[in-house]
Amino acid sequence: MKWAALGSGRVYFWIMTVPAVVYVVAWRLGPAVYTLWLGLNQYNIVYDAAPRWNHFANYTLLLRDGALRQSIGLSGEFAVIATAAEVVIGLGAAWFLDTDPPGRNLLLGVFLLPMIMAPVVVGTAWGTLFDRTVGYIPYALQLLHLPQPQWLATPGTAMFALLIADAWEWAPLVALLLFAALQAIPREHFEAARVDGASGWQLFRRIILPQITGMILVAAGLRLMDAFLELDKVIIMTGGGPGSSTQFVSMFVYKQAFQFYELGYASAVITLLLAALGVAYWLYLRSYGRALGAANP
Amino acid sequence: MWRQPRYRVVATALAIVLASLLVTGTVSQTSRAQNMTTLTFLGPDFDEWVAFVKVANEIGKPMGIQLKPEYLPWDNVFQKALIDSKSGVRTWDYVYIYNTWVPGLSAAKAVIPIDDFLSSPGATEAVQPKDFISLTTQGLQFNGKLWAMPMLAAPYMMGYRTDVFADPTEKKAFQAKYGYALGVPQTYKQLMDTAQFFTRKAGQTLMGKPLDQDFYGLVMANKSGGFMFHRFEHILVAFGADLIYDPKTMQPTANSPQSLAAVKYYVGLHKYMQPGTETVTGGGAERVMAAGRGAIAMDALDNMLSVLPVAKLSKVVGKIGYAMLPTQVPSRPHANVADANGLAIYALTQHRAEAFKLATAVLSTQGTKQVMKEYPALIPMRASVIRDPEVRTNYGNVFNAMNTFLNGKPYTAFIPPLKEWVQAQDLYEQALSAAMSGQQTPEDALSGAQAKVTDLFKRQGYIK
Repeated sequence: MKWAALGSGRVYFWIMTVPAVVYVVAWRLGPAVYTLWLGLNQYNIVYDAAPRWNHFANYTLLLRDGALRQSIGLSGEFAVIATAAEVVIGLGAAWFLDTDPPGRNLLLGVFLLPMIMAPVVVGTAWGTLFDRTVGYIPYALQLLHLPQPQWLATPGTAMFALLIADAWEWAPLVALLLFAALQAIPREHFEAARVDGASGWQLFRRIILPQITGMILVAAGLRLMDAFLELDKVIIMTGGGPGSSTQFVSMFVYKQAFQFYELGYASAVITLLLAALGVAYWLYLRSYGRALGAANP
Repeated sequence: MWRQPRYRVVATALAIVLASLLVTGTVSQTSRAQNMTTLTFLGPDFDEWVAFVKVANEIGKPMGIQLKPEYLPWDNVFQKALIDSKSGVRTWDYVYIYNTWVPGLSAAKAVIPIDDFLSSPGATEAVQPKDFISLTTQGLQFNGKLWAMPMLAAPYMMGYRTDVFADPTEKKAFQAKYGYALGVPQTYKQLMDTAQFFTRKAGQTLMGKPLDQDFYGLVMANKSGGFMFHRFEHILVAFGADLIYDPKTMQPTANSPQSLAAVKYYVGLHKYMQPGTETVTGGGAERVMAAGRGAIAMDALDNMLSVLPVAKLSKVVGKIGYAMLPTQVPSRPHANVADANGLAIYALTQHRAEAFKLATAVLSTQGTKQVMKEYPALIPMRASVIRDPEVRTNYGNVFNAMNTFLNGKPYTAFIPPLKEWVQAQDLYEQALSAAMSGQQTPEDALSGAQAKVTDLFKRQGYIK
C-alpha cells in the first residue's frame, strides 16, 4: 500500500508503529550506542563521578589482556564441543522419534523438558549431582568402585561437567529442529530407495542427510553462538574455576562489569565480541546459503 | 456492536466503577500509611537480618516507624546500593554493609557516616560509640569515620570436636604417631598434623568405632568468588605475608616468600579437607561438620554458631569447642583478618532522622539483646552486651567463644581500603585455586598473580 493512498489512515499508521519504534530505540539501539560510547571511556562506577574519555586505552588494554584471550579460547572450545555433541545426540534422538515408536508424543514431551527449564535451575541441578559430598554421580561411581574425580574442582572434569549439563539442556532443541526436518522428507523417497535396495546407512547418507543439511546448519549455528556466550551454568557450577579453567568470555565480562565495576573496559570487550560475532554470523549466513545451494542443485 | 447506546452506557459505567475502586483503594492506603513512617532496608536474606527486621518492627511500632526489607543475594546488595545511589534512586533508608565494602560505598557517597549524626550529646548518648568493641568495629571505620552501626562481628575461629579430642584411644594413637599430646592446634604445623591424623575412610575406626562414612580432618568453605580467599587470608597473614601488597610502598607482594609458603601450606592442608570444598560456602561447609563428619572447622564464628549447636540441624550439639586460629609467626599470634557487618544509612534516604532514631534503638544494648533472642548465634559488637549476665547465662556459646577471642588478644589485620581490592583479591584467588587444583605449581601461579597485580597497580598509577 502506498503512503499517498493511506490518506487519513496515516494517523493510525503512526499510532501503531510509534510504540514499536520507541521500544527498539529505547531498549535496543539506545543501550547499544551507549555501550559503544562507554567503551571509549574510563568509568569505574564506584570511584569515578562520570565517564572520562580515555582515547581507546580500553581497546589497547584488551589487545594485551592475556586473561581475555584465554577466556575467548575457552569459550570457543566449549562452544565447538558442546555444539558437536548436541548435534550428534539431537540427530540420533530425532531419527529415533522419526521411526514413530510407541508413545512417541509422550517421549517427545519428556525429552523436551530440559529445554524449557531456566538455565540457573539446570546449573543448580547438575552442580548438586556432581557434588562430591551429596551428589548422585559420585555416589554411583562409589557403588561401582570406580575412580571418583573431584568433578567441579579439577580443570579437565569441570569443563566436562559443564559440557554434560549443556548437552542435557540443549540437545532437545536440536532434536526438535531435526525431527521437524525429518518429518518433512517425503516418504516416497524412502520407499523408492528401498525398492532399489538401499541399506540403512545409504538411506541416511543419500536421502536423509542432504535434505536436512540446511536444518543441521541452522541448529548448529544457533547453538554455537549461544554456547559461546554461556554464563548461567558457569556462575552456578564452577564460578569460572578451578583457577580460571572455566572462565568463559561472558564470565570475564561479568567480572569486569559487576565485580570490578570497570564499565568502560567491560563495554569495550562487549563491543569487540559483538563485532566478532557479527562477522561470524555473516560468514555463517553465506556458507548456509552455499550449503543449501549444494544440497538442492 | 460498540456503537449501540446500551453497550456504551454499560462500558462507561464499568470504567467509572473500576476507577472509583482504584482511587478509593489508593486513598485508603495513603490514610493507613500516614499513621506510620515506613523505612526500607536493603540487605541479604541472612537469619541475623531477618531477626533484625523483626525486632526493628517491634521496637519501631510505638515510635510510629515500620521497617520493610528487600532481600537480595549477599554480593548483589553492594551492586544494588551502588547503582541505585548513582541513579538517584531514593527508595532505601538502610543498606547492609560488609567491612570490605566500606571504601567503595563511602567513595561513591552511597551511605552517610554515623559520625555525621553525632552533632548533639543526645545523639552520642543514643549511639554510645565507646561501647563498641574496637577490635571488631574497626573494619567499619574509614578515613576516621564510622560508616555503619555495628551489628554482627564474625571473627574467624576453629570449631573442634571435644569428644574426639578427649577420646583416650585417639590421644594415645596421636602421641605415638606425632610424639606430642593431642590438643587443640596452637600452631599451623599442629593443625596440619591433626587434620592428617583425623582424615579417615569409611570402615576405619574413630573413637574405637568403625566409620560408616568418610571422616575429614578439616572442614572449610573454598568456593571461588571471595569465599576461598576469605578463609585463606588468615593463613596468609599468619605466615607473615602482606595482604597481596605492601601498603607502605604499594608494591605487590603476591609472590613473596611468605606468601608462597602460605600457599604451599594451604595446598598441603587441602588434602585433608572435605571433598567438594571448592563448591561450598560457609553454610554448606558447616552442614558437613554438623553431620558429624569433621574433626575441625575453620570458619566465621557466627557461621558455626548458627548451625553446630542447633538441635534440628546438627548431630554434634554439645560436642563443639571454639578456639582461636593457630599461630605461625610468633609476632602475629593467632592472626586473623577482621570481619564486620553493619547497618548503614543510605545517602538518599528521605527519612534521615527516623532512620537514625530506629537504628540506634534497635542496635542499642537492649535492642541487641532482643535480636539475640531471635538469632542466638549473633556475635554482638557492644562490650555491654558481652558482659551482660543474661547473655552470659543464656548464650554460653557466644559468651565463651567471644571471651576466648577477646582475652586472647589475637593479631588482627584489616582489609586495606584499596578501591581495586576486589580485582587484586580475585587475581590472587585465581592463582590459589589453580595451585590447589594442580593446574599450576604454587610458584607459577603466584608469579602469574604478581605480574597481573603489578600491571593493575601500574595502570592505576600506584607504581611506575
